[in-house]
Amino acid sequence: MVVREDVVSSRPANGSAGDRLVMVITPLAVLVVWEVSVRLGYLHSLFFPPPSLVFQTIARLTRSGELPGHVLISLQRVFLGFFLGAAPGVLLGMSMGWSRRVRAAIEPMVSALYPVPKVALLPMILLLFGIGELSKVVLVAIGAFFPAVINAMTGVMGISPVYFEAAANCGAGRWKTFTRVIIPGSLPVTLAGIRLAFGMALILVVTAEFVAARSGVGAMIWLAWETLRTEKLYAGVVTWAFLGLVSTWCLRWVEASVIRWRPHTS
Amino acid sequence: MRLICQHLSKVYATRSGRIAALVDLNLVVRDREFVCIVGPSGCGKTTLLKIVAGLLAPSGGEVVYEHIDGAARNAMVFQEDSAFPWLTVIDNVAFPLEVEGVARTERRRRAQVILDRVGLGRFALNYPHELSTGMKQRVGIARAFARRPALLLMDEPFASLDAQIRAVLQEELVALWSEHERTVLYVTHDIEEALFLGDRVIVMSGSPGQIMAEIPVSFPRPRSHALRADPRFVGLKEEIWELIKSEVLTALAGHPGVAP
Repeated sequence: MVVREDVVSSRPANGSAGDRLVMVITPLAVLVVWEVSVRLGYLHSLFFPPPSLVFQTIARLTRSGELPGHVLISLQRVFLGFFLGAAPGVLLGMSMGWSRRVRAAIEPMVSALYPVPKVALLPMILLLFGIGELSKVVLVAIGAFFPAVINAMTGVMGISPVYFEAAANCGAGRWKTFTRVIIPGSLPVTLAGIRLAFGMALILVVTAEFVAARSGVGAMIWLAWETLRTEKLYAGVVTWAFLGLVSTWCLRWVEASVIRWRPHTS
Repeated sequence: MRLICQHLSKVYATRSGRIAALVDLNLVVRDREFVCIVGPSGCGKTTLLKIVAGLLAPSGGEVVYEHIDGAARNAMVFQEDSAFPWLTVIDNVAFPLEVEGVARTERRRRAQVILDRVGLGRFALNYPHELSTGMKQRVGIARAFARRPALLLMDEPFASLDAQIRAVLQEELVALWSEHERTVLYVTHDIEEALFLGDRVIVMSGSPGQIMAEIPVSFPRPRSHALRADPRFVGLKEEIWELIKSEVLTALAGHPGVAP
């Protein structure tokens, strides 16, 4: 056997050029087939407005300022709710992972409430917080809370006990253990939870806006449906899908740049 | 410094009842002595080490450190890889200094000196996952030395390494030890390793964990691996093996599914 003294390059290549080409070509092909099918009359343009019309609508609504206005209001609710839900979720989850006592006190409640569809809480939230901004933010916060709390807890519980013993043996107290073992050790799982929490926030804001809002992308989509303006309905859906994609990319990039010490990044 | 363990006992409560891991264990480690503890697996070696390290509270008895001459009482090198994967090699070694409150540049400078000494100088800025198993274990040893401990505690640090790397690291460890003049308590299941490294070998028996014999090892230092062929070395090895063999057989017999 040979003593291996070389540094192993373990960062995998980030997908081949071919993979990236396929990633672009497949959705484009779907759009082309869709467009052609409408133009040839195979699909009814009321139910399936052609991509060209949808993009024209997005451009028109953007120029008029209507769409950016709705997007801004929705995103404001998303970010506010996300921070109000995910931040305490991460802190609580980490303390649950760290302390068996805290876990025993909180985990049954979290496990019981987690599978409840958060939309089902909307009537109750409307009752408590009224029809204003707050009810939307609260629903988003509740949705973002659960993935954050569960992943932060799982992340801390997954840290090998030897790191706690090593830190204790080096003289680390509670604060050093928290900043140098708990936070970095749980970060990969916690950040995946934060990504899920943000996705949940994007879903719930639209849901809440369907029912209880006059502004926001959800409200715009709902109004478009009620007035059968399907191209506007599609414009809203496509815009939101695009924002979801961008947010996933951003959060993945944050994950990859924060966690440089792992052999593979997901 | 001198380490005194008086009437140490440890009882674990498990689902199948209470298990005595240590019973009335008495041990004195003299200043700058290299003491090795051998015994069958499950004899309480690691429990003893963790109690001495202060990571585990004994059920009875006490651990006394006399005339502490280092910056810290003890530093432990763990059996499994314990280098923090999220810190670079140099920050791992500097971690005890960070906890002490040493400024960043100063602690990095001191860590670099130790890394150069253990042959990891070039890898200061790498993360542990980029290193081989043997190199990771050296990071753990360097981190322990960074604490400048009065007593170095080692829990089978080379058990997961292959024989060749283990032989090299054993010699490195002895060189480090004689340079820094530390007191060492070293746990292993490898009789040869214990005889090669130690000034004294303590043989432990399992269930309950007790000291069965203490064997002084007086081979002159520096020792080379040729010592392993020395008839006196082989004689001691046989002697310890005879002591442990009955223990191992008892343990196997008590193990479900294994015929005595």
